[in-house]
Amino acid sequence: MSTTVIRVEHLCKSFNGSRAVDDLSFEVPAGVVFGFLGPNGAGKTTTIRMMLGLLEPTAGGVSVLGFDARTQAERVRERVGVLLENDGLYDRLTAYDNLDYYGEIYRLSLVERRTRIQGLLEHLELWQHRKEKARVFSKGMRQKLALARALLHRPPLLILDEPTTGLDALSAVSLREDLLNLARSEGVTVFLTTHNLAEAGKVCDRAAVIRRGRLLAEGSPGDISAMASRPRVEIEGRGFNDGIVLSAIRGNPLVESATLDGERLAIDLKGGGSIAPIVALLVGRGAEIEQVRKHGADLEEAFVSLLKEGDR
Amino acid sequence: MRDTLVVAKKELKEFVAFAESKRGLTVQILIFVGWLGIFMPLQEPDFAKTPWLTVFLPLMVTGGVVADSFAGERERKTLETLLATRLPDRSIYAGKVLAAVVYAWLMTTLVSTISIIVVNLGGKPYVPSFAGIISRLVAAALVSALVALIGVNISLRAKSVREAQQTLSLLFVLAPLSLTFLLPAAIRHMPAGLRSSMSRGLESANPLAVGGALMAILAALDAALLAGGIRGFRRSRLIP
Repeated sequence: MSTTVIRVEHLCKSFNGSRAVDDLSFEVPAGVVFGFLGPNGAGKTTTIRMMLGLLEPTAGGVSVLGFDARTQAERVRERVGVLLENDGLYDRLTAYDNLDYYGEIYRLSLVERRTRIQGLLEHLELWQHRKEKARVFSKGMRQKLALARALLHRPPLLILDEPTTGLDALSAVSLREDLLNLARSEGVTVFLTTHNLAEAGKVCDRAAVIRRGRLLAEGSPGDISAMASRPRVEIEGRGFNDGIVLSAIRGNPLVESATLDGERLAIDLKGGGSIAPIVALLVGRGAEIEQVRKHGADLEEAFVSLLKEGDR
Repeated sequence: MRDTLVVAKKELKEFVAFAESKRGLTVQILIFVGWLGIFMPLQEPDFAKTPWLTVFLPLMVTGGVVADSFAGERERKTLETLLATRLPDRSIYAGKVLAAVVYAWLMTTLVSTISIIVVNLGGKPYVPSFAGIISRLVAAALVSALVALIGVNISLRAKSVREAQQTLSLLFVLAPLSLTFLLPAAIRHMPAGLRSSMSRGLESANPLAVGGALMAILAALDAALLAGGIRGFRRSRLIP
């Protein structure tokens, strides 16, 4: 199998003349948890539908696990596990029957189905609820059951569309842990859409940010944070309130902005700015430095910053 | 074929599971068995001999299953996940049709059998010929398939189960009405020569041959509807 699990190339999709996905290109390597981030209406679900061959692209293409999603959609769907925006569970059927149906769809033998369903339900602590109809399940239990269904046929790729939306904090953490444990133990590549940036920062190895169907950034969460934000330096000490020192700092080409709050000087550096020349400048002007801290923005700040830049 | 059976099995299981909670399936069976299988044959022993049950019972019992087939999945938001599986289009479509055919055929066969037993118990011995039994079973399957195919196509296009049920009810009321009133009226307005030659032809024709011809027409209609339905089934059209 190729080391690239999903390859999206210049993908476009228009509905009645309006572009939902606009020249989107990115790749998902094997074995990672890939976050596909964007606000509501960014084109995440449309992209997933094109990956699964449920919608035809207007232009460009997607290949999933080496298969063209347009011309070999059945082969793609055979090898992918999905948990879409709606959990897709049959309320009138029991938890066991819901999984059994999908096991039959994926042609697992009776023995395989029994073993696999028991294993997954036990792992997700749902085995004791296997005879209950899905309609009595809480939202968290439903999402877990749908996750079990997605993993049932041991797909090498799992596509999850907003899996923790609507869950309370505890259920979301529990589902996230189950997802990561199962993905790791089964060696699955996970493609995950979310607008929960804290979640993406915790679980994703790589991520892409889209807005209005266009790619704004791609890389590791750390790369995206660095790409989208200016590092901030906080320097504590004395001798900063001299107007000349502050003017010199603000006039430095590495500095975007500087503010003084008592004995703490906060400096926003321009992209890739280094601290050492700033510290040298301060010391040279007679300031006494006690502590220097450099911060990067977290993924959430980076996301907001990217979206604002995208709007400009 | 295996995929079609998997879909059909789940459809029936879901239908039974839903009905079970409301005792709906039991009530439906009791009504049809009591009314058409026991009451009518006791009132009119010839009822069991006519093809009435074979033609009209599938119309009455199929609606509930077929209205729900696609419109229900769409309404309960299970359709997209089903479409995202490896199942081929034809298996999803044919599986939904098959479930309705199996249900309608079983119900028709059950009620017909009971009606024949009741007539015999009522002191009017009636044993249909082997050819008669086979033709009834085949005719019930063909009529059930016709109703199921029309119903699944309506459900495929309906926005909700209610919309599908309303369209189906209208159709299933209009169809028997047109057979009861329009057909005799059309025959009355035929030119006298044509009418008498048709009448002579039918009188002299072998009933088995007429039945066979009607079933062949039904089978051709079913095959055409099935092929058209499968050809017209596109996942992308079903995505909201």
